Amino acid sequence: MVKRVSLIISILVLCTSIFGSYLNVAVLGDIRSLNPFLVKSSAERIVVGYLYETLLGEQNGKIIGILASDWAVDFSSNSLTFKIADRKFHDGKVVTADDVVFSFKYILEKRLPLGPILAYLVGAEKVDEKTVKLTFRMMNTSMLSFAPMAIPIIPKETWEKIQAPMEFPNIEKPVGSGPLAFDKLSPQTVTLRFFKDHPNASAKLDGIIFHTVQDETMGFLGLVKGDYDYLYWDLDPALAKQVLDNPSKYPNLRIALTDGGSVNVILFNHRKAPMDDVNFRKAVLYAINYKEIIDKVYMNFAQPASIGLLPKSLKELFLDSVGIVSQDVQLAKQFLSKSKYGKETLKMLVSTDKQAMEMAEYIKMYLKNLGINVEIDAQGPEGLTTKLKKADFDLALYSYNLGSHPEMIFYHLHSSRGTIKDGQVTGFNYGGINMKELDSALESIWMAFGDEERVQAFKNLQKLLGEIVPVVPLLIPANVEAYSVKNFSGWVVSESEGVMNTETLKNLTSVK
Amino acid sequence: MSFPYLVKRIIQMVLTIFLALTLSFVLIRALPGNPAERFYGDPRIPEEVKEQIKAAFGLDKPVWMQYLHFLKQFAKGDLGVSYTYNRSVTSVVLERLPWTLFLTAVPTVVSMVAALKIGVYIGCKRGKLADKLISCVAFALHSVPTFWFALLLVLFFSFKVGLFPLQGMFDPKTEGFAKFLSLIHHVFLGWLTLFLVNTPSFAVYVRNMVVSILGEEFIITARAKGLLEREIRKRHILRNALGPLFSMLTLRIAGMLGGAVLIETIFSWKGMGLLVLEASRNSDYPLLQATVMITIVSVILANFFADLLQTLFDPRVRFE
Repeated sequence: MVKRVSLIISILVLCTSIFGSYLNVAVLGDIRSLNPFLVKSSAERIVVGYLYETLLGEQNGKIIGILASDWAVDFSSNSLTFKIADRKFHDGKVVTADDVVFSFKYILEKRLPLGPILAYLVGAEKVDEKTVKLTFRMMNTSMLSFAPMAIPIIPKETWEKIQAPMEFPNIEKPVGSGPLAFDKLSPQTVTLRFFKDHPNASAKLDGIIFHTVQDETMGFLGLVKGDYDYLYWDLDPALAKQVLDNPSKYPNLRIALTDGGSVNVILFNHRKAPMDDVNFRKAVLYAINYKEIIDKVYMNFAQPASIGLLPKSLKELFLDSVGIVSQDVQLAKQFLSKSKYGKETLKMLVSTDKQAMEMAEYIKMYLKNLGINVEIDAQGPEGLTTKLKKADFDLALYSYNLGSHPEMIFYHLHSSRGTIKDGQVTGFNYGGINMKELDSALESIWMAFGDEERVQAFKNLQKLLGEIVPVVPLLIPANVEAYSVKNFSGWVVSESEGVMNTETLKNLTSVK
Repeated sequence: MSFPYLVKRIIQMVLTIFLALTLSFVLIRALPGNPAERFYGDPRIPEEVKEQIKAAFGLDKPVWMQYLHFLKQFAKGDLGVSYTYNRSVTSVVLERLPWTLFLTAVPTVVSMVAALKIGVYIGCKRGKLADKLISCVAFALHSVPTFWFALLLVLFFSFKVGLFPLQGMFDPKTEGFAKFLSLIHHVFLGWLTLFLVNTPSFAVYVRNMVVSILGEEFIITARAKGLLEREIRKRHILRNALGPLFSMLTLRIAGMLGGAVLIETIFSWKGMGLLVLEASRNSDYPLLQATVMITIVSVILANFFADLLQTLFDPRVRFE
């Protein structure tokens, strides 16, 4: 009886559905607001990223123009000048210098919680119909990511009527200039259709339906069943292995493995002995069996990290000669004997996340074999952040996301970001690394605007990191993406952008 | 129920609500995390800007000032603006509440009706095979964790057999009547889970009540008068069992307003349960305060109405 009723309902629903070639994508979490200035979850970030565009972007470590066709730096006036490309908003109106100026001024006037902009942007002015000048309090390369890569360009005409943007969810009719335009919102889905005036719009697909799911397992089951075509999160390595080992069980599923951009590291609290001693840090560096951790904890879905910290995905910036380190217990013992370590038990701060805990157990074992006593201090997300901020650790397992913005390394390693004020570390240099040569290498990255200059600055930094070992780079987890070929064919796996890239969207064709 | 008693109960209710609100206000703010913190994630943000961000959320003031502001707004019926939804908390709650009621009310009412039938039947057959068998099944079903049961149903009916969607509320491509059908199609497994989990406990409750009623003198009198067993059940047993059962139903409805967190998570059903979870995860103080308040007020009111219903169904009950 239940079966019959359900079948009748299914047929009726199917018959009355409005058919269209929509890609069904599952995103984890919730989409509560599409206000591009108040993005709070990864699901919102994904959808807003398709609706709105910024002036510049970064690809493979290179800065590229998105809404800007060209840009120039003027050190004398601490300013950046941008030429606006010939592009349109979803309502058909042309993107002008007025819209760009308005977007930046709006943030300043409304005091929107976009910290770096409020802190460093002085103003925005229109030079001509297609040219805009942004002025900053100081000038370095991070200014490029502060404003032109972070701030979405909004249509002036729509947003000048919004007096209280903090109370504006923007879910009625958001208008941006991105490749997808808003269609409709339901409690569990957001439907976007391709904006045909956009250069990256798909000609074969109508749009994308983003389904918000609360649980990764349910999302995976949906992918296997064919309800979803793509999961917008990294698949658990154990699940990915299961799919790859049993292709006949999952005939429609495909796993794409690409180089990740996050580097897992061991942080040292440089404020204390023996962590301030390079010999001790090198002893830890050579004590670890990286291959074993990658194999046992990450099921081989990771690669060893370069001692120069930068991930391989940054291609031009990556310095191959610095290379990875392999376990060498004899060498580790030599370094340890030269160090200040005096048999004390060190506290290693770790997240309660399954992989981090497993990794910590392996590291504890390697260090014990060397004669270093380690006690694991496992903390949930809140506890972990609190202890890092208070510098309440000896060693800590941490992750640097350098894949999209390698300049961020400055904020993790520069001494100015590791000072303690009111009992708290003022920046993200939780370990309090304080080395003059490192500071100057990081500062030179900040002032390298030219392509060649930038590549050289990053290469110099990687060489230095290999010598001073301020942190121990462990591994770089691979991006593990899962997609289904049940409903669509033509998926393109890009080494740098993964599966959901412009080529895929242009190429996908409905199997039906 | 006498008038002075009614006034006393209303004053008690208002005081309880006020105390519960104050306590929840303090406890919510004592939770680790800060709603403005998600905007600190960027390592480039200087300290002074962090303070500005805090001020934008009204979190720069001491807690007691925030509390006074909250009370003032609450008295005006303004529950504030959600930090995560960027719109009024009332509109968010009003949007979610019907979905939760749709998910929970239907199986609860059907469960009650079924439990009444089953409970009276096995109560009257006390100690016999039917009673033992049904009670045994009821206890077994009642002991099964709801989320596990829901997962089993999903794995079998949705994943293996493919009869129902895995999760969600309706197909976004449907319109009009098709949308309604799609909604029923999506909610059915949630309904089935709640029905199968609730019915046994209700039935056992009714059964125990029936067993105690069967020992009452008025039942012996009715039998002595020569009334048929069917009439005894209808006129005496059922009527006496209805009072406590309605009280239980009232309390259940109050509980429903807080949402069925686990069921909503498994089926990705955007109701009050998920809203509470989201609000606490994101330290969305106004939203969390509002959802907690709804649960508090509805439980207190439900208790009051349960007492009222008792007096209606059982003339022996008097509140003075």
